[in-house]
Amino acid sequence: MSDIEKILIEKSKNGDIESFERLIEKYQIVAFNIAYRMIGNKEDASDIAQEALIKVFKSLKSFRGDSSFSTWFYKIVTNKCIDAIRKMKKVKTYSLDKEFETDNGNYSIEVGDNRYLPDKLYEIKEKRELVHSALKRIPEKYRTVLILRDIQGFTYEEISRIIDNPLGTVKSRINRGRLLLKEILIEESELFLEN
Amino acid sequence: MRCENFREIISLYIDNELNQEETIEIEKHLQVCEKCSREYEDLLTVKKLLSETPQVELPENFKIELHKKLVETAPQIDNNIKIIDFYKKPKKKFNWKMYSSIAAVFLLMIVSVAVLKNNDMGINKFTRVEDSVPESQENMPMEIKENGMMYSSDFKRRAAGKPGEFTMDGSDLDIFTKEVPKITRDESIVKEFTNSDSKIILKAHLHLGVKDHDSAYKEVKGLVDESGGYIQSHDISNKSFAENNTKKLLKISDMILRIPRNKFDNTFKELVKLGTPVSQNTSSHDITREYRYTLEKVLSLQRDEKELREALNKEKDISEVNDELKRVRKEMSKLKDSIENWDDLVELSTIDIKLEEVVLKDKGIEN
Repeated sequence: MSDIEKILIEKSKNGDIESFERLIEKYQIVAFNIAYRMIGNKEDASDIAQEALIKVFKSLKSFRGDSSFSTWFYKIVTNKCIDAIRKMKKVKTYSLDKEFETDNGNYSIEVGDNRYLPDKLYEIKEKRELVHSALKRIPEKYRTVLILRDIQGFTYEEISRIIDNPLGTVKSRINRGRLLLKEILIEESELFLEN
Repeated sequence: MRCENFREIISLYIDNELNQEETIEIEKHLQVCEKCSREYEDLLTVKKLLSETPQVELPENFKIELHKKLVETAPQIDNNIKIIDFYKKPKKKFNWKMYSSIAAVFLLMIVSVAVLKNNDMGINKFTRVEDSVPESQENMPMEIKENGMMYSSDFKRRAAGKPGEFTMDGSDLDIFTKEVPKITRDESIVKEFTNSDSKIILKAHLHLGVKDHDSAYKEVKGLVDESGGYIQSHDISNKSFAENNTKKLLKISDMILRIPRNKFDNTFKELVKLGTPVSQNTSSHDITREYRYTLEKVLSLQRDEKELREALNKEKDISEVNDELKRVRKEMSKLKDSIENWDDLVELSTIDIKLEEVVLKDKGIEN
């Protein structure tokens, strides 16, 4: 944490909006992008990112400074996103998670047969759209770590602190998340090519 | 290594999170198992696709919306400006508890002002109401009590005067300006706010196609003069024109008009009639909350400034106080600037208008 950041945090704690806006200047775009990839659309992402930022502003007083501000900040952002996703699910009363969930609550992934992702993707130009919609289909606990790791480039240790889970959990979630995403990408690209 | 184990840690291999031993194991397995090496390539592709995901820009109004929400949130955080809570829900009923606590706050303030200042300034103000009051300090508490009571009855009178519509809005600011003028040195700002309840900035944009630029311009000017406003800026340019062998040089005007807010609607309606609208829109932006918040902040800074000036007289270590005073003054003048700027924008609506001279191809349309 830089000295300037510390000063801005102290001022923000007293309700100084201008200092707070300076403090979050470089973080808010990342917050919005995390929300966008988590939620899937920009309107909701914008609302949720703002809610998260307001929460940061309100709870700054409880930030003691023994952890890094950015970790603390992104923890609030990811929690807000996960809360929002759960609320949305309640409304829909339909869970995509179930797709891969077995009876004992684990996620089963079939070992890939002769389906080979790079071949499938070769003909598809709209790779970005494909990835975006595939991400939405994997359960949020995997989606979170993949967004943090592969889109935003956080380290395993940072992710462990942000999602408040042991390093081992992070490792296995990243691994499983990528495997899941791979399966969905293959499926989606097949669907895409059929149409 | 078995394929199952390979699948468990393959991503860690990709991210270089394995120790040397595990890395060697994986690499060995990769060489012998075709299925797993395909899997590895698939996952590399997944990682690559994700990392190529572009960072999207913040939505256009993201920061503005956030700022509004922060302004709404800030009073809950800053203890110094709790008073703003009173504005939030205008009370229709007369609330004794609330008013007596407000009276207590003022009482306290007056005590502190009087004690801190300890000069005739404060006392004079109080004695204006009660005629004969000795200027000795022993009499201060009683004196203040009288004033406190006066405030209470003042509230009562107001409440009784317009029972249905009585709100706290501005009333306590009134007291700031009327009864404790030393604290609010810049009264003009504060008083002005009490006159109107909401601060709304009106803006409009209008792009008109006109047949004759100069006469349209004259009419615009006429309308502006009539409204009591003025033309803030005016740019004229010539449009390069290569169509239909027209020799006439066509003109385009870009103007910013400032129109008193009560004339805004009518003037805009009249302006639209001057030609064929290409595009138009009007917007209103309610800044009441920000305005009040800023105003409160200025008041609190003024109190800080006063205290600091007093400290300056007493303290020996002046440089620190001086720095703080500089900071307070700087912040205050910044806030005052934005208040003045808002006042200007609220008082005079802004219309940016473009007059574009056009030649109608089909003479039939002209009439």
